[in-house]
Amino acid sequence: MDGLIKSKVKKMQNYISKFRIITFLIIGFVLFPAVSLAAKLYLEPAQGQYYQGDNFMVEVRIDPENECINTVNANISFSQDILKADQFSQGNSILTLWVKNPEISQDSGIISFIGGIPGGFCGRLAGDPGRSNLLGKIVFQVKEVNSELLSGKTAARVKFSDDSQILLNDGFGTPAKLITQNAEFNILAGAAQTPKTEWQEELEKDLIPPEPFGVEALKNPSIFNNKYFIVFSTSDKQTGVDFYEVKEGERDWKRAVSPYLLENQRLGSIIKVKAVDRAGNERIIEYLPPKKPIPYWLIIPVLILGAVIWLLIRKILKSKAKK
Amino acid sequence: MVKASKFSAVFILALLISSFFYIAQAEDSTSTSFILRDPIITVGGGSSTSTSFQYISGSGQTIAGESTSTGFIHRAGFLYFPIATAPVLSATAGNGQVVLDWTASVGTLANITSYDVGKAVAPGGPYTFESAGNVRTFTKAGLTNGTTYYFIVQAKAGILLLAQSNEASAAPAAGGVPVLPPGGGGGGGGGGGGGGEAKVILQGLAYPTAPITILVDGRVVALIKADAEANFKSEINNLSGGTYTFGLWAEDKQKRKSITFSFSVTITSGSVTTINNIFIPPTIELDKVNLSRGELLNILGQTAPESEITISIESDNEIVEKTSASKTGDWKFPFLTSKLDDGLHTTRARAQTKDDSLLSSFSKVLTFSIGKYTASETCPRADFNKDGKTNLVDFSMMLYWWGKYNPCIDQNGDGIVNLPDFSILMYWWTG
Repeated sequence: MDGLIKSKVKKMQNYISKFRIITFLIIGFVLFPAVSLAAKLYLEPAQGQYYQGDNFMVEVRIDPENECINTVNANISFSQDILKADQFSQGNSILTLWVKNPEISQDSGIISFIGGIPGGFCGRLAGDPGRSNLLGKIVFQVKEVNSELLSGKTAARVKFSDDSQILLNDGFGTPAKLITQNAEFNILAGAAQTPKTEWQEELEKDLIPPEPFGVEALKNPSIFNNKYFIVFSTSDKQTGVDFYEVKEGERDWKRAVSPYLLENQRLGSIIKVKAVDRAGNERIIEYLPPKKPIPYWLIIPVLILGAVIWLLIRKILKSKAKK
Repeated sequence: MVKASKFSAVFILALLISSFFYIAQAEDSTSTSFILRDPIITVGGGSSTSTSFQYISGSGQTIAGESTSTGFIHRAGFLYFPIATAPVLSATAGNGQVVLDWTASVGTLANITSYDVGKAVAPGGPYTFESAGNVRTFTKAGLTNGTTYYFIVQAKAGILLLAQSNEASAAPAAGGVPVLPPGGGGGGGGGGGGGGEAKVILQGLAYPTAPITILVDGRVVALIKADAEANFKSEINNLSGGTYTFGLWAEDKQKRKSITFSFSVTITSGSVTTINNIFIPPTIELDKVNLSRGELLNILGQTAPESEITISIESDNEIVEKTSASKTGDWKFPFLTSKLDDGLHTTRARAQTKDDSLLSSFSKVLTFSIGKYTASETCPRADFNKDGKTNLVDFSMMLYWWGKYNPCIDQNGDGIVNLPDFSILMYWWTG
């Protein structure tokens, strides 16, 4: 097997030399172990017993198992005939940047997200009072279904799809070997005497706004036709960020995602960005964009005009001095 | 009439006797191969008292069970043997110590009052036990780095052993990861109820007088400088509490930037948490990246003074070399490339302090080529790996370079890979 891999490497290297291209992916796969130790995605609790109408949370967690990882692509299926996925909370997640915000498809019974950790995550530190490995929390509601469907008790499953992925923090985007641990819940017919309302309780406890954050205006020929846009990102340690809004000067607040193309391309007014968490707490950041630079075509006439005026004044002063 | 009265007396007597039989009817105790039918227990009459409970009795058992109040427990009848769920144990290695934590053991017909921790040097024991009290985390200190230890936890109700955890193992190691000292997360004046902002103290080693950038959740929050011995310390305030990812990178005297050293920690609101033993990985540079076979490749950088440097050259077979840093932290290793085949190779380095107390994680990875291999540096549309797509792989590479400079990944050319570059990658996302 090693010999086979080595011969493939040689062939690939010859190919590369012809086209003078470095493929980082190949380096990642060949010079580092292509499939290394397994990282584990797991759900907690993995078991439980709920009644119709109950509202409960399932935590999505990761154990990198001695590896350093930086990217998680999770696809989670659930028994959509029995469970309704109400929310996905990013509160207290170790994922700070999200390429794909959590999306819930009730029809197909799939929850998916892609997020990353700048600098990577290598597992829990000794002495850490918490586990510090939460990716997010799924809020499920047990559906009110025909009790004939729930004859006695029925199993509701939540499981990771095979196309879930974890990438190593090795600079090459190498996929880690992945193992998953799924969950199965017993759903009982009838309603509980006191229905569980775990998510509601979390919302009521959350009185803290999202974390402070920065806003930056910039432009780049490669996007938005070189027009000015702003970038922003924050997190919320309790219930997670729900949405952002942007207000330019006296204009109305507008729902926004980063990058956000500015309506006022003259950058003349204060830009406010509001981050709102799932409990409704909000943090507003005000940003005054830098003044637009004077166009170069205006600089030369202004300089010429300045020079002419200076020469005229000098001439007048000289003539006065002679008199 | 007499007959009737006799009949009545017999009837009343029979009724009384039968009623006694009824009163004596008790709960059966059964198992798959055993039944104890109608067991009767008698408790002598009288009274038992405590400060908050009084029990006056003379009774027989009908149902097994337990009655409790704050200061009194009354267990009546043929009690079932108490049981408890097994705690799930995990072990995390530190420097000369292992931190254990476990899930709560839940008792039936008994309350768990304490846990014992067993330690062994071989799987399966024999274990040496010590009491941890009624807690769910325990730090076992005084261990030898490099030795694998095996632990179990036993849940007890009083002196009764009710459940035992799985076995968890860990090998303590010097440095490598920052360690929160025991109790480091406590204090903070007020505490209780989770109110107040949290403070984090970060301290460790970088390079002499090196500027250090500190990130929280990927955002720059502080710029500090190491002292002449490469020590640094910084306080991060105004954290609300929760799980934070801290990142640190340093710049050496030749303006070479280190990799971002990153870790995630849960911070309790209103507390002061000290994270020490941080050792920022060494900087690394190659004097050339395209070489002929047999040519000398100088691998160099900076770290803490007089540290030992381990250099790893990843080829078909890994080559490991060692050198020492000078008193200024500079290090250099001349590597003879005749040991390598033509092709692409990578190298990285890690440092261990002079007293062996701290071991850094690896530096960034550098690529060099032997033979006719050269690198292309342009990566339009955030397609860093040039596979025609802008996807998860490119994002992962961007995260690796986050906060540093890479000509391919620094999309807007501002000298640093940061949020604008991420936004550009978002824009060109193809999946």
